[in-house]
Amino acid sequence: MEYSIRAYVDELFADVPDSQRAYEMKVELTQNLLDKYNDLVASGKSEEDAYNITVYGIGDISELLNELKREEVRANIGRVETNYYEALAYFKRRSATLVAVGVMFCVFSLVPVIALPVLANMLKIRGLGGIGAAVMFLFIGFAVGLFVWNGITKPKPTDPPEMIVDLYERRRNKAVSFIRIFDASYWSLLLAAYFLLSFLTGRWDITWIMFIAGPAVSAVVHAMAKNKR
Amino acid sequence: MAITADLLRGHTDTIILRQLMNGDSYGYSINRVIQQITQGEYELKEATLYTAFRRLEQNGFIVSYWGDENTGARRRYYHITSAGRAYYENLLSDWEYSLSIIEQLIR
Repeated sequence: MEYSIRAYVDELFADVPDSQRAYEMKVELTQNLLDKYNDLVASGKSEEDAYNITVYGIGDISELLNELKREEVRANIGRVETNYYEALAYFKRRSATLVAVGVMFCVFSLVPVIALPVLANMLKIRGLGGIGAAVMFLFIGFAVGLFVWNGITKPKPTDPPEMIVDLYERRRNKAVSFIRIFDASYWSLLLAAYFLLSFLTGRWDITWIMFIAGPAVSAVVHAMAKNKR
Repeated sequence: MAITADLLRGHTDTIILRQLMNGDSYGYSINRVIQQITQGEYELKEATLYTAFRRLEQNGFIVSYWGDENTGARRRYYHITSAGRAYYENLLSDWEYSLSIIEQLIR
């Protein structure tokens, strides 16, 4: 019979949204009814009678449940309204940044085509012209990638506000920290710097020290980032 | 005794606050005491009781907390605030005033 009481309350709360308040109300009511039921049984009532008295004693609870429903709807609207315009502004900014960077890469893609042959002429190296074209296509490819990515991830005007707000909140919560960018790029940048420096200076006998110093610099940056937090 | 029930319903807040003046308590316990005092003549429907709890809590007259019990049954306890005590005193004097008026009118 205890199970029947729980089932009865479950039924009552079936279409109430899963809010903290609704859940607490449900737990409270269930415990209250079980206490009452057990007392009735202890006082000599049959399980059947005790169940009926208990359930009848609840009375008309619909108004209370409606209040819980309305409360949940209000809370949702409030949350969505305050964040909706903020979310829209965020996505507009993000989209503008992606497009601007893409256009920048398109424009800059011409630089290696023009500059590399000149540089090759000055340094008297052959074959750099082909690399210029390759770098140009690399730049353009990257730009196109940005445009496509922007198109896919930009919220559409037909998306429901709740969805846009959800996307925005999820992004904000896992904002990329400086230290993560640092960790992701540190070693490849160090390697690039090593080759650049070595080729330019020709001092291969010394430049390897960078790799000894590398972990130390990384540790210092990590410590500084931790301190700042 | 439908009229009595109607009359009593108008004083649900006063009845609950009066019980909480004796100390913190939870839903069923309050209802049981009400039953005992009235020798089984009156008890609150859960719907009435919890609607009143919500209203009183939203108005700051009571606060609630979850009791930590060893039996495994977690109950939500209610505690009357000082605003709640003041409100109770108000309700009580309102009632006494109404009572004297009604007495004069119907005797």
